[in-house]
Amino acid sequence: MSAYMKDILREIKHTPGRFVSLAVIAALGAASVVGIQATSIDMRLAADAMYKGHNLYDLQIKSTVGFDGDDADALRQTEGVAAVMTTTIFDAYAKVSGENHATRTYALPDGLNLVDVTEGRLPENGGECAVERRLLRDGGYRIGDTVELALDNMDDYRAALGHSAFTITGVVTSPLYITFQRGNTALGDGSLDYYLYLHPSAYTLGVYTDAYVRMSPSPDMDNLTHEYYAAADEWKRRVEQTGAARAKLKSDDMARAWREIYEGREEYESGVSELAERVASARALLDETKAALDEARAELENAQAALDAMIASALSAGTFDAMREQIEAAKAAIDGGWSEYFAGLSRYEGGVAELDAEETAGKKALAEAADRLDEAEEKLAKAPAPEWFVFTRKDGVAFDSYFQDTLRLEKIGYVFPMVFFLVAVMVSLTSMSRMVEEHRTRIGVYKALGYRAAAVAQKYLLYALGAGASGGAAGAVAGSYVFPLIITDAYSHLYDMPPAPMPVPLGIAVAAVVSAVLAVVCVTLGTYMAAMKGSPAVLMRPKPPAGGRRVLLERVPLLWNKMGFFSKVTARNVFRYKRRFIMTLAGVAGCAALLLTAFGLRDSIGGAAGLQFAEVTKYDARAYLKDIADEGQREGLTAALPKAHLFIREEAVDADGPKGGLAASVIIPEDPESLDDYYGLSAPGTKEPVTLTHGGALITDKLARVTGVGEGGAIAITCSNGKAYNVTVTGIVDNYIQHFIYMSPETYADVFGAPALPNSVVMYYDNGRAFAAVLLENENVRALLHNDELLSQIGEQTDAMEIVTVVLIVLACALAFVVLYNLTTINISERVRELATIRVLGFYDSELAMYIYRENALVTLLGVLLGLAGGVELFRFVITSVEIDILKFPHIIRPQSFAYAVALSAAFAVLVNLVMRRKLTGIDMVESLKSAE
Amino acid sequence: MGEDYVIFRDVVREYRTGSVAVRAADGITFSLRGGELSIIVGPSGAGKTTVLNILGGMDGVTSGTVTVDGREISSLSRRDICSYRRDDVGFVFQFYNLIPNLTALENVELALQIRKEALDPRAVLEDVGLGHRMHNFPAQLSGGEQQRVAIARALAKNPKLLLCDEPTGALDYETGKSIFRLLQDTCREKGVTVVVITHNGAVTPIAHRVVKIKSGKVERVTDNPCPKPVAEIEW
Repeated sequence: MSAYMKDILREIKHTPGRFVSLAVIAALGAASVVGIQATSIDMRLAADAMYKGHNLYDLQIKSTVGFDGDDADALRQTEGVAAVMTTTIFDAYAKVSGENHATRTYALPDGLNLVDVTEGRLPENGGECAVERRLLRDGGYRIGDTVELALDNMDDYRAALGHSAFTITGVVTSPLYITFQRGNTALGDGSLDYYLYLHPSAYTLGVYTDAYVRMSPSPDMDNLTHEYYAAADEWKRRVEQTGAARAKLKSDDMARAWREIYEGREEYESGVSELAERVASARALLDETKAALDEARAELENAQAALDAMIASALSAGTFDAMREQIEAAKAAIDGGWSEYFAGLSRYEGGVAELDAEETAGKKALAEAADRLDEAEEKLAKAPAPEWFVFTRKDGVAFDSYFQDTLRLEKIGYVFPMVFFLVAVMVSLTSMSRMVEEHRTRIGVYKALGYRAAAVAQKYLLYALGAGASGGAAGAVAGSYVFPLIITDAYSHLYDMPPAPMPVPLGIAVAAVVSAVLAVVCVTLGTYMAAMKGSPAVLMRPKPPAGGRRVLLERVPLLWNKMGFFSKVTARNVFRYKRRFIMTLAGVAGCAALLLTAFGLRDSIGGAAGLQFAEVTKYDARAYLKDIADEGQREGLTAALPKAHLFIREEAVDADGPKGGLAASVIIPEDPESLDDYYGLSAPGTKEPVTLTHGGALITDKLARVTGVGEGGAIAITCSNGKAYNVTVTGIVDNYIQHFIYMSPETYADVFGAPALPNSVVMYYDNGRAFAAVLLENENVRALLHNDELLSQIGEQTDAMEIVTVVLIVLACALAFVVLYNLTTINISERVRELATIRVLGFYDSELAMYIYRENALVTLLGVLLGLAGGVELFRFVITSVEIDILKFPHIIRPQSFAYAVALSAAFAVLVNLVMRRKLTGIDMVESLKSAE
Repeated sequence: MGEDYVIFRDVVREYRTGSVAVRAADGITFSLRGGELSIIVGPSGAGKTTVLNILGGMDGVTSGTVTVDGREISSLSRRDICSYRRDDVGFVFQFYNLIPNLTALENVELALQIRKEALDPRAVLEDVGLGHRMHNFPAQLSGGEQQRVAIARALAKNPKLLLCDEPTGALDYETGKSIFRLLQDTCREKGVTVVVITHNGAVTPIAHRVVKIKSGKVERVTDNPCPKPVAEIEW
């Protein structure tokens, strides 16, 4: 080892405190940058791996009429589609611990959305099912038990499912559910509780209800990126085109069916009359036969009578024998006639019976045909217009919120650690300049001995490099493991995501360490160069101590004269070492600002949802409806709804302006007058009420900000059908979650050229939620969402964010400690002679401590005050940076947060002072005997 | 106050650095009378600073006893030794050790803050001849003036013992002389026991008793029945 390295190592050994604190500062800086970024990256990798591993869908398609093989083929032929899975999804009640719980049943996946079997096996026939663990647990079920499914209307149930009891064969987890939220359903109170999987043969619907699509570029694409989402929108458009084409074909099919029914009816009518004709003509024929028979009979009777008369006259005339031959011939003829007659008669009767049978059969066949036609017509009349609804993962709440969470983390990971870095650089600046100053005479000696400045500088640079690199690297590695562990643990309460791989994000880590090292090294070089300006002779002489000076405060005798002796000393000392004072002030202020920002973040992120529901979407619940076009639909609804309700139309659109575009919702209240009873409309900032007028739209402030459309401007609205319209903005209103464009029905009709059919109704409860069950039975109601439930769901999500802020708070505290420790150490080491003198003068340990503490307390106090002021600004900056498109965070810091920030800063100041006390009381009084330096 | 105000008996002080033990004081025994000016003299490294540190309550002993005014200070607790420094000792440093951020008056007042029986700082400053520079900061004062302030600071505590460590070491001849004069006058007029440590043997005639130390041991103790006034000596 070179003497040089030995010297440096010895230097480190002799000043462990300085080296360690420099390293720790670098470590904290690097850990905060790398850690939060790493968490964001790890979370994304976890989700990406999970999505890809389970072949998660890119698009989900629902159809009003279901899917058949042709639909699947059409999808397969759509550009970019890699895989198609048509499947069946059916919601029913499952009996779980004695109660009916809305449960979504899925057909076992075939290629997409693969499930994990965590226990048991998958169903192998129509009478088996695999359930999610929660259902198993809540229901107290075991594998092999039977779970019963049912619906209120069992006809509907039987139309879809062949069994009503299913044997549980296993426990599965579905990639479709990454949160513990299960989403909405049309059953019960509108919220879904469980999911389970059935064998495809369990379904008897005859068509598939859903189609899932995987697109070909997506397996290679990172799933959690803006690129993916942009691509997904494009894919959605393409599949919608396919859907439109399929819908047209299906509509043609329907038209054909109608024509067939019409033709059938005509055929039926002609059948009826044909039958009648045929029967009539046959009957006429028979009647003729009958008449002929009757005639024949009369003739025969006449012949008999004539014969009888002939026999009688022959007997009386005695000519019988002579006539015998003649008589016998006549008798034979009559007998022949009778037998012919009877044969004819029986033929006739057979004919009549045959005709009657024929007629009955014909009528029956016709009636059946009529029934069939009626049935077909009824069915066709009931069938909805064929239409496809295409959903991307963005429409699945959980997938998007997970993505947004990673984005938010990433943004915090950029902004927050920057402040860390600034504070860290400032502290190491003080630290290193102190070191160089301490070594002033030594540097002078080296210089006098003929060493070149660069050679001498090397030592300090290596020292700084050592501290920065070792601390930075340790911080980066520790950060990239510890932060994800803590933060993903917090998110694991929210997301059901397999553990993330945890690579050290090398790029960011290297950048962080290099910038940490660069910062420390540059600072060192700077102070070194400044110190080296003098000639060796000047350098070797001790630096004259800074002369005392009066402070500004002394110009105010009124105040100064009232101050105690030590207060005066403190005031002077604080301002004596200006640079250290400023550094300490900045350090403390930085930490206080970080703390305040972290607490403020917690307040704001947690507050957004609360404010949205308290101030904007004030209603208690909202029902999603089919389009309400006629009075009949409305009557049933109105009866089931609470008294206070407002029908609205909400339409998802894209809103664009000169600065950018966003997805937004157009809201058209049926009665604009009462809109502000349900939606709070107030100007941002001033909270002045804003009213909706005809001829223009109100837009929410974030939308205005992002699109760059102000009051009086025109916002471009693109509907889902691709048509674009321009609407004048007449006002801007406050809002926190999502983006709204409010319009009166008249404006809507003017702009869109169509009446605004209500498709939603917002309401206040009359008397609890008892109405919900009745309302949901109404065929026009699709789902009912309660605001308090939404709020608690969002609450869970912001809980996770809270952990992030807690991590930031802990970091800020650690930084506060190191900063204060470092600066106090420097303070003591710079003034060791003065402090030793004070001890020699007979100050007790506590008095000596107070001598320093008073200064620290004053600087801390000033620093905290400055930090609070700066913290408010930093908070504004951070909160605007971490804001995601869909949200506007309210800029609120609760008074408690100020108190916490102050209390924590003060606590750390006290803690550092306690730690420092040992150092103070350990000061060797002999130091006082030495010459300055 | 009389005989044996300060007694060193077989005082040994060892400093250990690793396995090497250095004996700075190796069985030092002497005594000083109260109300007198005593000088402890010896070459650099002889151990006189060790004696001063022990006497000033800044350092302990390895063995032996030190008694000041009948109180054994070598066995006092940390707190008691601090009280001893505070109440009984006034210390004058070679490099004055004034608090740079305090004016002359304030430096003297500093002593006042911790000592109840303190003297009026202004009067003490007047006594050392600095009445006109009370409001100057140390950096604005000459070396001699600074040392006067330091003496005033030590005296203002009204100590039993005024300990001076090479008080003129950083001063020129004339100024040094004036400081010695001040010390002698203080001893004579105020009856303060003054102990001066110096390597300068030439000033020994002004003291009542001179303790010469060499290699950690007392070489010789000399008494001057009639100490010379400072003005009469030269070096």
